[in-house]
Amino acid sequence: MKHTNRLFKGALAVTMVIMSGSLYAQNAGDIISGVVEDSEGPMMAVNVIEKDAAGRIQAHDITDMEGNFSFRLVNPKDRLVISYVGYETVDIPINKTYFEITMKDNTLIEPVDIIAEKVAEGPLPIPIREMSTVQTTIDMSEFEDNAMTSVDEALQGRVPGLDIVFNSGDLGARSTMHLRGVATMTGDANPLIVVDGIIWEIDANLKNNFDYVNESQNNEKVSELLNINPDDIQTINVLRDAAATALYGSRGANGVMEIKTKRGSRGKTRVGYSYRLNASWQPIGYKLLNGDQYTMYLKEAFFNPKMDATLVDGIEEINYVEDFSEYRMYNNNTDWVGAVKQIGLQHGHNVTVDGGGEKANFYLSAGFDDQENSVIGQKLYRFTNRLNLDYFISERISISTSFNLTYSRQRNNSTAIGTAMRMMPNLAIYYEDKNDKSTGEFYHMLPTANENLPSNTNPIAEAAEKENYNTSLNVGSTFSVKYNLLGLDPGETQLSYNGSVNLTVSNSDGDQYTPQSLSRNGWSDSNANSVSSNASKNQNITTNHSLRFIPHLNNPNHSVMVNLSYELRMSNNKSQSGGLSGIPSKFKSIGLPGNVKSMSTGAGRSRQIGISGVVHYSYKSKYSVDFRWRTDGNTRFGDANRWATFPSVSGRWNVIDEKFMQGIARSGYLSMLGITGSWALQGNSPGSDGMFYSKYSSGDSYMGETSMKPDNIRLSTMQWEETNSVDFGINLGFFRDKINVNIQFYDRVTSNLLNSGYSIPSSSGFNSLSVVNGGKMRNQGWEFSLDANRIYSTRLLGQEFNIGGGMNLADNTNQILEMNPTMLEKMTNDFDYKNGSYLSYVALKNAFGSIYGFKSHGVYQYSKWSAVEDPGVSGPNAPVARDADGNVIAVEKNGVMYTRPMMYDYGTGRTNYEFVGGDAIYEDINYDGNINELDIVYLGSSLPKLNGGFRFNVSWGRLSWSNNFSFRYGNRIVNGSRMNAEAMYNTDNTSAAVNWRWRVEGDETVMPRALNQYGYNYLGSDRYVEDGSFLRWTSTNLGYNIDPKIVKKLHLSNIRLTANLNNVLTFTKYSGLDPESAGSGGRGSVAKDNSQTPRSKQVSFNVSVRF
Amino acid sequence: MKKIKSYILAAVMGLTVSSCNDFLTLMPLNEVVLENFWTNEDDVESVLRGAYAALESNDCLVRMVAWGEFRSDNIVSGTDNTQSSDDLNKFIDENINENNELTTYLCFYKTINYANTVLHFAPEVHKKDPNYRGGQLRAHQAEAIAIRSLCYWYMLRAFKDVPYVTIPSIDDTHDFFIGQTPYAEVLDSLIYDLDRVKDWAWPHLKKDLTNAANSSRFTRAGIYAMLADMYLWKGDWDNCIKCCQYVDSVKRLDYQTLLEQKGTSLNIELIADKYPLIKSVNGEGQTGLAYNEIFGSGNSFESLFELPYGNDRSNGFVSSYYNGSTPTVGRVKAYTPIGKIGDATSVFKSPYDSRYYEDLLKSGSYYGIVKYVYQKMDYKLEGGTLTITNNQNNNRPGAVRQNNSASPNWVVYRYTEVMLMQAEALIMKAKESGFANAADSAKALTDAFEIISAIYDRAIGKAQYTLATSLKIEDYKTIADFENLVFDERRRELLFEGKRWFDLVRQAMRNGNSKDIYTAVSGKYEGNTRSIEIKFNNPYGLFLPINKEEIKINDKLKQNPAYQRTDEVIQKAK
Repeated sequence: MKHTNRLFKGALAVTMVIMSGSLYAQNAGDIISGVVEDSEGPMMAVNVIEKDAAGRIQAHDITDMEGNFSFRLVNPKDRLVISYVGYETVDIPINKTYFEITMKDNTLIEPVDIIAEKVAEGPLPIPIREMSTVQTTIDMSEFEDNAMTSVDEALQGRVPGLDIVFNSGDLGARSTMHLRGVATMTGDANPLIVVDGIIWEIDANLKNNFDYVNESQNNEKVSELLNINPDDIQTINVLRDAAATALYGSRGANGVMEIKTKRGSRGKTRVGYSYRLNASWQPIGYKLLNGDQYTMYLKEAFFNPKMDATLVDGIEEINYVEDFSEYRMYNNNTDWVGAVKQIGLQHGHNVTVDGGGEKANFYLSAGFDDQENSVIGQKLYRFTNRLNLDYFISERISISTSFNLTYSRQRNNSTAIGTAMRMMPNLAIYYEDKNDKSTGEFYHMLPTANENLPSNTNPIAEAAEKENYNTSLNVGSTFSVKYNLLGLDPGETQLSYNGSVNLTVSNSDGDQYTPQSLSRNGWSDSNANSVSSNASKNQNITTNHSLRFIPHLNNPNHSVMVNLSYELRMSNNKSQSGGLSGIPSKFKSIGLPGNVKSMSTGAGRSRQIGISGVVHYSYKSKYSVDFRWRTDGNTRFGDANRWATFPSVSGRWNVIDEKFMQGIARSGYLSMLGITGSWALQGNSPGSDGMFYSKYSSGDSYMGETSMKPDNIRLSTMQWEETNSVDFGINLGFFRDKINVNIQFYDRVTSNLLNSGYSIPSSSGFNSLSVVNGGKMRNQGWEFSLDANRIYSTRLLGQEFNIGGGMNLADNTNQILEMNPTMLEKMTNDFDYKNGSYLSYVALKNAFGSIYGFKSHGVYQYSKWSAVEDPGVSGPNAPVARDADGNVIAVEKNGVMYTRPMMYDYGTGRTNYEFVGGDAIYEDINYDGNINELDIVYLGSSLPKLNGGFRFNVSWGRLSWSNNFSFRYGNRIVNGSRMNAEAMYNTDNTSAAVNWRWRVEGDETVMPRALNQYGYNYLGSDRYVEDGSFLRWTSTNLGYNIDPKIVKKLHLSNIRLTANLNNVLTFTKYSGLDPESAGSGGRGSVAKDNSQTPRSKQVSFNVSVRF
Repeated sequence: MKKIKSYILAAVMGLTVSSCNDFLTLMPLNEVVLENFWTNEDDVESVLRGAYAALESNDCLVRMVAWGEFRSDNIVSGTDNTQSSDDLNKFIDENINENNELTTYLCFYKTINYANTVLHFAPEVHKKDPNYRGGQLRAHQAEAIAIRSLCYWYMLRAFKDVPYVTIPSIDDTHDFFIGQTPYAEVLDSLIYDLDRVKDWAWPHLKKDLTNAANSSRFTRAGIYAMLADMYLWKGDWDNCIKCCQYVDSVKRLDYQTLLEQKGTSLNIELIADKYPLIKSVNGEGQTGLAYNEIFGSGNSFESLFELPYGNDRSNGFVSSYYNGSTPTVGRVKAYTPIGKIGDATSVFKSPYDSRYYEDLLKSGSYYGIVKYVYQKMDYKLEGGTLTITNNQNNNRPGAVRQNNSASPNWVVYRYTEVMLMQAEALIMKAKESGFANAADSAKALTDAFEIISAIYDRAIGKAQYTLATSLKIEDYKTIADFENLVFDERRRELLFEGKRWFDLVRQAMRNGNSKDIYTAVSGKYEGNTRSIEIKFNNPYGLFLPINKEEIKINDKLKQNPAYQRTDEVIQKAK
């Protein structure tokens, strides 16, 4: 009220002044004229404006060839503003009718560091030192030299508590990101991504309705979220604690990543172009058997189970029989894995144009990527375009609009490496003529080939002939208005309104085609000449209105800021897919006649409303308190539980400002000591809409007539999943904030856990409820980060020399506190007694991701036991039952020692297998002479004890060098790919390590005998559980700016050259290809490396030019 | 001015919030929701059809036959030993445990839930839709109750005690975790329900008596047949006989109607002036007509309730378990002793018994099951030898049903079974001295014999083959002889129709011991049969265990005591 009064008075005064007209010499209607010059003489085409108090243009002229201007004055109270690109703007009162103005070239002025108070990203300009929430802001200029293609690459090992794992090296595949552990049992646990204030969210319905061909494609769909050109990003702000994400209500439960794109700034139009060349290659994998070793191994594998040589003789493909018609195709030594690898090249072009003037700023960029992976058959084209425009109508009103577009087309072929590893190495890639010469025509195994042999399709032919394309087009457009309703100066009370409307459309389609030539069974194969196609459309409209109020208080010790906002979001989606097989050759349309394999359509829509607010109060910047809240309502809940409010409170005490600390503070060694604490409640809604409806769908027909049936049990009691978080942190600054240290402790307890697929008794007519609330989960952990971006600067050999760096560490433990016993039972499956499977076991108070299995101890040397070795016949290392002291349980009868055999799963009628020489030894924990479920023990956790990263950068003059490292420590991985490569259970090609296998009685080795479809030699045991700790030198980057003198001569403003190595080195004990490819584990599953395409190594060169 | 602006802004925001709830109410686009459903008669009809369709699912059919017959002395494992039939083989070999897939019963409860849904909402629709008359409502209710009762009836005979649910599962506020209700209580409840609604059902759904709807949906006769079956198990002979007689009367009336419509071309004859049955003999001295109509084309005159399969619904059970389009032995085959014919100890005592040829086919040393598999049987019986008249390749009588072109209907209740129920009830009543005097008792036995004879004579083609000899009443001296006769005739007549094991169980329950079952069945097991004998000595051993998945999630369910075992304590983490 006070300030409005003042305003009113001011307005009154102005009115009086205008009315009296006596204080000024000039009157409205007078001609104002003048001349504009710079140091070299008169300036042409300079903007001359009469601007009123609100910044609106009242009159306007442009100088002529002699630099003259003139216009008719509208209001003598207005100011004269003269501006020209590249010159300092002149802003003077209109106190005379003729002006002589000299403009100063601002490009000549030495840059001056503007020391202003840094403020946080977010709805309120809260000074950094008053911030009580935890967030990490990364300026992307830091990554100027990095050759990354997506945002997650830049963030790995960079943000404390953000665990990023790249599961696969396939093009476009996305990483898994978990911030402070996983706090939900269902749905997506990746952080929410917000780009320029707009939530990027893939509609859950779309994911549910859409029948993706495989999961990797689903991942690709999600990865499009991160398809923002990294060159366009200004900052990434990761909101880590619950108090900060409370503003995003139900959607911020997994953390929030706010991405801000670049906008234009006032000044000359700048044009930049950069070109990047990137080469990638696959790491060297397991050494596999060659053709000869393979056929020998296979003969043993067929012979061993039944000791029957006739089982081997019939297989012409491995016997090198010359009169076999296909003999030439099976007498080779083919390196299949080598054949599917290649050096993948990527060309990237990026153009940016930005600039701005008095009235408008603009930023325009266009990028084009042409990428080929290090595995054949994978390609990606991507075109990105972004336009950000800001127009200042007046000092009070400004509008901005953004437009962005991403188009990508991708060819998938994710199975090549896996298939190549399994292929028979004695098989030829190409058909060979009589002289063993390749004809260049792909060879496929005949349908009549022995059915025990691997029946995979030739992966080289598949890469060449099978088509699997994904195309996506994402377009987003935002229009926003900002209106300052009250004061303009920082010294006045401010009230501003900000409104925006955003429309995002993302369309994607996929096309797959498998020609008949790839089907071993010819036309009778259901995949012969099959074509499938899917398309989806997704539309989101978001509108946001917010009011920001910053009162000017007379007592400068107090500061208050308030922001209120209202958000509404609507989304619609549609999808359809269809597949045909047996269509005419050479045609690839699903409009053709053929056998319909699949046909489905889906449609969905959802709406959300969120009302949120922030209040910030600070006393002398020493004590700060924030209150944030959000009330959320969405269509995923029924009337009863639709609305929920999620509040948070946080505070900060800057101890350094206290009197008793002043001595230390003045010394400068300790420049910041702040303590923060917060409490927040967060919510999470289930992944799909409409679960509270009882739905009916058409059932099978009866007597030729259609029927209807109820589909589900409606969930009217379903509630929000709630997370209570408590955070405590210490902020430290040393050496005038050259080093910043932040330590955080958190404790998050999620209750009302949403469990999907909750089993209910069949007597209900259903076997599960789609979602049920129940259970409690706790995530506890700490984070440590140290930033010292310019810790040391000096002048070295006449050039400026800087060193900087940073590091972060984090640990998270996750456990279930309470859980419905039924749910627990469901997650704990009975051991299935099959090769390769690990018991899954989830218990209260135990961490997720624990690995349970047998203990293995090498291989039995002999089948027959004798206390003393009889070489080649019998020995002490034989499968007999022993007691707790390790003594063999034996009974003497008629002078013969009878021992008890070692059995597997005895007496249940399931397997009853008796171990013999050459079989793997498993520890008989309970000494009952029987290896069964009771001998399973804990083998380690798939969750790391510690993860994090560190970085350092050095710059000397125009040369800069930066390095990034990331690590995980203390996690264990089930090496599934080694398990498959050494299983010797089927006819797939295997690791060369099996050359050491047990062959005859008495062999001493750790590699069991070859057994095709027989035996229990690769039970889930510690043999495959490995330490997954690693330290990865993720990237090293070298940048150099060419001498400005040379650049000037070329009429350019800057040329920068950079070279990068990505995935430089990995220090690990893990024997597999990539300790990261095991995924992160968690939510009841163990981390298992299933031989996905590993991350490639990359080298790239980049040239960027500024005009 | 500024203030006004903020007020307007606040007002706009406020308005939007107040209408939020409407804004946030979205109906799913892909599905019909309850709020928009149940408005007219069609909705009731279509969900009722959904219940029938669920009953017709392959899962249900497999269980109906597996539970009703596979454990019996009629069935042994077939040659098609795919991995998936592992549970099946264990089931047949009496090596059943709580992990066996065939002990799951979700498919029946699904059907029950659909029926319960109809029963819950149909009265509401009746209030809303003026065209939905009370008579039609009651008919729908009768059908829904009949479907529900049939499901429970199968589960009751297979598991003894089962969870009994009569309200639909609509909302998650409902308590789904319930225990079993005792057998007798459920049976009484089923009888009460059926007795209440038996006359609500239409006598015929379609005027044309040959229309499939008259036997593929529950009519009065179908409900009476089921009710008779239940009374038989309960030991309520009078009510059983009453129900059977009602079915007799319906059939006789239908016969009269058809006779008027079709005249002499009708293939039905009135045996013993009482029982209208399809003639076995087909014109030119060939036999197999009754088979062709009952199992071949389906929905025959004798059918009381059967599941219709056809082009849009294929009978996967028959094609994979009995025989597919290639008539070799399927997943199951006949227990070999059934293959003997013509001597006193064999199942088929008369070499003229057409059912022998219609049901079995020798394939090597085995007997494959061909009932339902063949669409047509045409052969001649002369002097006890079979002459195939319609000689297809491989000496197979009749045409093999093509897997894709037509699937056989599955008969749940047919007239001859009801006749045999009546015979059984008469004999049992006599046995238990339920009649007022000896004369009535003797009359009952004669009546029962007459019924059995009628069925037997039809099967041996008495009308055609003079050499074939009918049953002689002199051979049956004691009531026990009659009792055996009715069971033997049931076995012959209803072979491979999913009835034999239930018959054995009913007999054992009645006798209070399972000796007969063990004697009948033990021959088919190899190896140690002692454990099976011990199991059968436990009365619960004749019933199935509750599936492990059910027990695991629902602590109110109690495992069948014959299958309880001390749970292995699993020592997991060190």
